[in-house]
Amino acid sequence: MREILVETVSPVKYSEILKLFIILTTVQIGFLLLVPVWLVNAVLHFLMASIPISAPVAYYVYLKTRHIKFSYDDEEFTMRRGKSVLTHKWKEFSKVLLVKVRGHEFLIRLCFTEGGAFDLAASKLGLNPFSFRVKILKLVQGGA
Amino acid sequence: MAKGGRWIADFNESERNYKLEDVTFDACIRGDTRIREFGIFSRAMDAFLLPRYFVACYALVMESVTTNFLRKCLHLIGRKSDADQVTWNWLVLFTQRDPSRDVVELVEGLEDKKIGLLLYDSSSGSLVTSRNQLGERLRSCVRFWSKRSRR
Repeated sequence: MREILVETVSPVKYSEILKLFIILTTVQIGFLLLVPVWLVNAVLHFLMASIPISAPVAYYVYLKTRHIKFSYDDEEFTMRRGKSVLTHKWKEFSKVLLVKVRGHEFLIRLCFTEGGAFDLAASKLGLNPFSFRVKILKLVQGGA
Repeated sequence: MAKGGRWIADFNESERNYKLEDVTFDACIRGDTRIREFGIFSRAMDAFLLPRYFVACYALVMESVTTNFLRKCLHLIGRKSDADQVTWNWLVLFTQRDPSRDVVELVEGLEDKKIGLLLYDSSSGSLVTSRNQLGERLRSCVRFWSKRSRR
């Protein structure tokens, strides 16, 4: 009987949420600059309200557009980023490369048998790229 | 690539079980001589002073090595290097038996300036490198690694 291995990785990137939070807060503050003079007293209230509004909105936008969820078993893997879902079978690939992007950021490049490649951002997923490459190599070789 | 070493090139791509025709290398790492740092000085040096050479290093672990196999490896690497425009190549062979005199002569007499060759016998700890610049450079790096590993 075939052993099925299922693992899911979906780290929450707080830096991404913070970026969205800053953007949303800045946009709200920008709108406050357009407020007519006679409403100046209300500006402070709007400003105080913008922070608690921005935080959940930023989190929601992050989940809907940028959150990465990677799950795999011994036959295929699925990558979800926001609403987009991408599924590939391990046997579609012939080569597994470990690529250093910048600094200590690594990605795993999966080369299709027919040409072309798919990049798996191992560092962004919070995975150890070295051990994960070995794991993927076994899955690709097993699928071939 | 990790824990120090002397800077030769930025190796940014590695592949295990790398096949070149019927020879399978245990590892192949590739890169170039560009510096990928954010500093203005590094960027300027990279743009104006450093040439962009593509480099590759092949590693192979085997019981013993023969002259025919070594010639074949060198031929395949040379052909791959011409096809991919790789300027510097290194071949590192780890063996478990002392290399024969023919093999040592072949390694030391290597005239190809594009390939640096290193032969390390793990049983005796002997090290043979090609006498060209790339081979000598490789020897100095391996000495450095050995010192660190003894700690």
